[in-house]
Amino acid sequence: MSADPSVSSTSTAAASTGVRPVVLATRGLTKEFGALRAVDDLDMEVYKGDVFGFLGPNGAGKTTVIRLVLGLIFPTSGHAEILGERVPGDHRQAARHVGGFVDDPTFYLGMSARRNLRLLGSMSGPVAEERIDEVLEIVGLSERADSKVKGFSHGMKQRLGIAQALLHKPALIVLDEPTSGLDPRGMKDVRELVRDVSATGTTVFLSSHLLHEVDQVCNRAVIIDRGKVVVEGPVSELRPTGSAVKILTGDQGKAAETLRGLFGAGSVSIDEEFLVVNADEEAVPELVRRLVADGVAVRAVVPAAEQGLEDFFLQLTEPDDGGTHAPAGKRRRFGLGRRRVS
Amino acid sequence: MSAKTSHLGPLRREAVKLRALKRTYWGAAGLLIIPFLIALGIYLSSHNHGSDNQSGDPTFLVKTFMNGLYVPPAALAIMSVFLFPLAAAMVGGFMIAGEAEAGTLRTMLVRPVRRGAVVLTKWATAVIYLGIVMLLVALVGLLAGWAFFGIKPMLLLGGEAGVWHALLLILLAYLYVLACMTCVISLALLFSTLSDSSLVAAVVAIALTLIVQIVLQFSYFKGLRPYWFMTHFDGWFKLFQKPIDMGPIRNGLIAFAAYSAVPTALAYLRFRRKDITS
Repeated sequence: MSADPSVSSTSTAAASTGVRPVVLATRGLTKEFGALRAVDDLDMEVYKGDVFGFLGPNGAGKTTVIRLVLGLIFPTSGHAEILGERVPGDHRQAARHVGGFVDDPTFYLGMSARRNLRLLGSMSGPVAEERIDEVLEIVGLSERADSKVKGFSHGMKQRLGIAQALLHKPALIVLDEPTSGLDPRGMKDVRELVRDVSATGTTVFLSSHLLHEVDQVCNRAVIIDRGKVVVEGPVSELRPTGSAVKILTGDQGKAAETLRGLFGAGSVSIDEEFLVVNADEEAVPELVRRLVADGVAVRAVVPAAEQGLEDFFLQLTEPDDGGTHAPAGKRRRFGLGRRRVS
Repeated sequence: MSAKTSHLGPLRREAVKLRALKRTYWGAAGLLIIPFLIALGIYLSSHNHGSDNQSGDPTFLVKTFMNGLYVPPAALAIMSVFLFPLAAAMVGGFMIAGEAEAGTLRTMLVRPVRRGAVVLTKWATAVIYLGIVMLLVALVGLLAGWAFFGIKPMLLLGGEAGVWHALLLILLAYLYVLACMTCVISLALLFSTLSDSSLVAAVVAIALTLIVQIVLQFSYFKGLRPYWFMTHFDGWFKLFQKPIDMGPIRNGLIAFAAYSAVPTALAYLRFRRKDITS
């Protein structure tokens, strides 16, 4: 199935959530491995055009959910739906609408990238050689198309994984931590690739434990912990309600004193060489003016959005006092709770 | 302009995968040496011991068997005890567990493929692969036999077969043993769906095959012998007598059909509901 090119970007997608069809849904999805309930009555929906972040700490059940969605493992109860096709049940029909990989993308190492794509692609029907060239071009592997995959770096395999996911122009691609193990350059390349794919209207389901990655790439996200949805909604809301800025000055001690006087003692903390101040962006001019007036040289003021998201994530998923986790899915100190964008 | 498209059928896909693996060639090459060594061994032995009689000429018996047509059956008799079952277990065990080990099983199964069809295709691929290897073994045996001894009509128990008739019997004998080896492939394939290690699947299959065969040698278990497929592995000997005794061959083929069908069916059922966690 071809992706709809009319949905041109994540921002467009976010703006039109009210009319977008559901591409991927899970309904009461539960998976038990013996006594361990890895996925617990999971309900979520991914809409057409979303770049949907699937967040959770290690062991939260992200990969298990992806395996369930892709039909690799069978649920104890519940099911997934891909464009209305049930998994399990209509797996073959559902698989025609989806491309992707789980864990690291794997290939037949003794074959070239092109032969791998030819082989894997033929499992979904006839593959045009032109399409193989096209996806290799999209992921920047044209020059290595005829090289054996066993000589590929980790980043090249990740990109080839995305290429094979795109071969049949699926409506949905599912990527399991696609930047895992990559250097910063490789991470940036893959994120740009995801944005490019999304710009063609393909819905992207992106699993990650990197909050800033989801923040940069996704329009909507869900955070899961111990197999349950903890919070779901637009990425812009997946952070504490208050905002913060990081400040670097010539005299951090004196600056901290001034800022505590201005915003209160509890509003200022230290993060490595920065002072972190819980303050809106609107307060920044006054903040700088007061520091300068007190003779403190201001060297840098930067948003601490990432810091806020990190804190939010940890507070949602960290163990309660006494070392035990709070019940997953239970609404914690932040006000989002379960959120459905309709 | 018409776009060039690729569409590989399931069997061809499996063949492409096997062709891309070095072990495919190393395994076959190892087996192909055996018939050559057998021909060489017979040749050297006949020259060392065949002229021990007073006249200095080879004995009648040795002269009779110095015929290239005997090399393929000799190779079959030697290799069907262990080497062919080993090869069958290796290729059968690799089929699913090998892909699980490499991680390509999940890459394949996220595509719109039928799991049951995957099992049956892999079984067929393993049988075809082993069949080709066995055919090459027979051909190497024939070539080596022809080079060392030449080709003459074959003496059978109770008669003689012309060259073409003998070649047909050799082909039938190899097909019979291939039918026997499909049981080992089926067992290995079943264990391949139960384990994510191709080595474990192959070792369990070959161990089961040989251990049961050994245990059945005890007279206490002799009543069970007809029901174990390896009991019939040498039924092809009956092809080389005149007239051919079809009874043991028929019993063997029935046992092979059962021991191929049941493990393959179990593998099929198991794999359709298997959680792919590799």
